[in-house]
Amino acid sequence: MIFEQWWEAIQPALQSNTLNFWQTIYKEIYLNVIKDGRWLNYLQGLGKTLEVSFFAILVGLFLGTILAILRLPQIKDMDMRGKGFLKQFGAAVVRCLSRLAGGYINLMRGTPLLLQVLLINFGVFGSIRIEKIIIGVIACGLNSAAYVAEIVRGGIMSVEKGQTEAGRSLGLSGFRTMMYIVLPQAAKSALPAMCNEFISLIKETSVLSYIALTELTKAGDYIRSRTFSAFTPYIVSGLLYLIVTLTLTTLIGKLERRLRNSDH
Amino acid sequence: MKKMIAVLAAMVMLCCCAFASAETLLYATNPEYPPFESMDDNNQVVGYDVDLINAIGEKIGIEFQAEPMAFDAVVSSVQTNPNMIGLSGISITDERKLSVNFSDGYIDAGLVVVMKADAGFKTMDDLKGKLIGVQQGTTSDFKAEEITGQENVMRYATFIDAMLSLQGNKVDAVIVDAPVGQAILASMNDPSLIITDIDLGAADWYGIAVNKDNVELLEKINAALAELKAEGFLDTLASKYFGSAE
Repeated sequence: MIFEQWWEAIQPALQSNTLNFWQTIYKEIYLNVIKDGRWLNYLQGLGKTLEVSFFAILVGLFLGTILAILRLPQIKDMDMRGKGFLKQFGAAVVRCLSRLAGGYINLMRGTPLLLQVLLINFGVFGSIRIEKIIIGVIACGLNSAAYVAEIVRGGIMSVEKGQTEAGRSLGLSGFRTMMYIVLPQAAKSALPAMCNEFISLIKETSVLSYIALTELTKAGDYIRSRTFSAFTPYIVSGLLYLIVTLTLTTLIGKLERRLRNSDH
Repeated sequence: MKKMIAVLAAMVMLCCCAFASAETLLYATNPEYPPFESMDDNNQVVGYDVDLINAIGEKIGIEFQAEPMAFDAVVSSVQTNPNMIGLSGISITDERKLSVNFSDGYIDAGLVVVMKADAGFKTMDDLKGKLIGVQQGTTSDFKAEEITGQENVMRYATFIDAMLSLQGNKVDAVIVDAPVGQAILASMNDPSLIITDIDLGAADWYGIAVNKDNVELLEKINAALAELKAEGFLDTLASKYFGSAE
């Protein structure tokens, strides 16, 4: 292999501690990326990061949308006075859920993700053997849901009231109006903020290294603990994160432009 | 103007004095590693290594101050800073020797396996394919990888996390330096965790890491270490922290 040959070529300089600038860079790259197939460690880490992020985003989107709907003014102050007992009871339950959703959002946004991860790992699943990836998806998904909820709520509230009224007067139920008329429009205006949230979620999965899940940051850490290079492994990990987030940004940007076609 | 120059000159002289009077060096350490180094109730780093470096400092006329950090960062800090040494129960390994120089070894720690009392591991082979918890980047980490394969090693930031994960059934066993394992188990006070008799056959000498460009300091430290050994100070330290001379 050409890499091995280059490595051999800088050995004399390495032994006498007289590496020049480029030789030092090659030494770092060789030790931290090429030797012993270490690049595979980064790719495996990247795989885990993507896996956790993908499922956490799904959990966050699903749960976040439910939370957002619960937080809407018309749900929060649902009023069935003068209707039947069952309807009044139902409204009371919904109002209660809405308060709970508010509390949940405050709790998850107000405490560090790292603490939540550690609590879920050592507390909730205190003595149960469970795949680290599942813990990661649960922790990051639950956390992300709180942010997604506020983004979706903002999106829903940006849709004019007239749209709901139009849907209702055409005979659609409240649920169908929400599903087919309001949410699609809300999704469009929430997209940029949502892209932001996805990107920060992908990066924040790095805290999962604390529970010994070998994701991308931990993979860099692992290499570092083998080669004792102060920062090269982190640069490699950082570049991989950058590739992922830039790809995501580009894709969502394209989606945004597609959706804007209907704006005329 | 004259006044200002005088003041400046005085300040410069003061600075020089501060440097000349007592040479102070930092040592990188990860104080989550009892009994070698840990934080006491007053937020001071204490332990075997601290006593040792203070004794060395007295011999060579340097005052050493602790700079706490993650264990991962200790060796790389020494590597990048010629005026910093690393003292954190660091085992001397060939791969680490590529990055820093090591003093002569000052204690042979040796590794032990900790398991749940009912797990029943008897030999090294019983550990094959089991999840083993370790502190990342330690000799335990390398040993565990050898035994059970890279993907079955759970690498935590500290041995304490690894032990807590064993307690919570997240790993099957923990490999740890013997004195550290004993100290942690003693403070956890959990009878369900025991140290096995499994012999990992690994000598594990701890050394002081010194920057490659600071050979002078390395020689001084080695000379002081040899003196301390001859004076019996290392035995005194061992009996102070482990109850018996090793």
